[in-house]
Amino acid sequence: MKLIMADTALRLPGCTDPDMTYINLATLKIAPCTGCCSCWVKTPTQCVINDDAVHVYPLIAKAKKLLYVSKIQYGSYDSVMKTMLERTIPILQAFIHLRAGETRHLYRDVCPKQATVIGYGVKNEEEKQIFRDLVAQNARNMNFESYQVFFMPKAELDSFISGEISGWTGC
Amino acid sequence: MDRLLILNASPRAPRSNSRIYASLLERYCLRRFLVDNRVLNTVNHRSLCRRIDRIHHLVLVFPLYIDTIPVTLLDFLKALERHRLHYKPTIHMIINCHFLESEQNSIAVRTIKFFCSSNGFPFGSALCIGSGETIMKTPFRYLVRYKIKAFATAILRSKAQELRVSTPLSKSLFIRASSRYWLKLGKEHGNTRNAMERMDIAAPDAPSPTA
Repeated sequence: MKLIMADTALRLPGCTDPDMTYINLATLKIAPCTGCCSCWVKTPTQCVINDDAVHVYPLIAKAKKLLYVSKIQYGSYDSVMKTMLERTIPILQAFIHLRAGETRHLYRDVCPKQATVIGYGVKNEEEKQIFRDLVAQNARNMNFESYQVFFMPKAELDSFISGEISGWTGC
Repeated sequence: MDRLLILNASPRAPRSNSRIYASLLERYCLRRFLVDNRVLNTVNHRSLCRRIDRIHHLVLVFPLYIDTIPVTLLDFLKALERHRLHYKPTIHMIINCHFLESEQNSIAVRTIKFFCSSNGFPFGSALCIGSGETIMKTPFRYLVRYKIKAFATAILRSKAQELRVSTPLSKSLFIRASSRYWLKLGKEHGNTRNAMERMDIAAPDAPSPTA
């Protein structure tokens, strides 16, 4: 499946691919992760917070093509996207193994992904570089087999994303 | 005597490892600073900002979340940016992650430094702790105490330092020890290794809220 997850409303005209899901996180109720680790030790694979995030993280795990759109804040994803990403912990196991020479959590059934990450609202080159390095680190922890990072003004998101997903089959 | 505020910014603050690190720092700073040890939550941003207006040093203590700072701290930094401070304290940080490599905290350090440089806060010292979930439950906890003492001294002497500490085990030994730790926690909740290693990711029955 293909997943577009954004922290803002996007206009994606003309895409009728039934395999594609678009989520506007700004319209969902998602509480921050409390770090209780229940999804690892108490109710494995299930978050105990019963809000919209429990519908989203299984989609992230299943997606083979993934497109994130987020405002950037201090070189990180801004709050809306970051809150959701912190709630993806159930797709990992508590157990740690060695991957690319570093200790990392084991995945559960997480498809290898081709990811595109688009940041807007970035202030300068230093912030861009912090964000690029963050996505590189996320890629190792979230099974991105390839990824691209783009930065642009918010006003250009719709046209850029329409072009980007036109390459995805069926759009 | 300088005033120092320790801010535990862990999302599970009352029972977090950050609480332990914050308490140790408080102990080592007591005779050197006027220390205040607080917990960050979603409703005390304004009162904390007012407190920060009257201090010389702010120490953020938090865990690594998805390779950078937790959203609870991100939201607080945004509030601090909006707040008009008369005096900007030096910001220091103690960060811990589950992984053996304390270097996995480095993006979070750069994020805090970026916040500081963008908003005119001096950045002081950073202590990066690897294996932060378990190290205080092992005989190697003395290494953390030693580093926190060195971190407190660095603050006192206004000597910016980036300190690191982790469990001095090989990666394979660390992985075995960490598995034992998680299995023990699972067992306390009635779960076996098989249950904890489940691969299928449970999705609730209710319709998904996609646009």
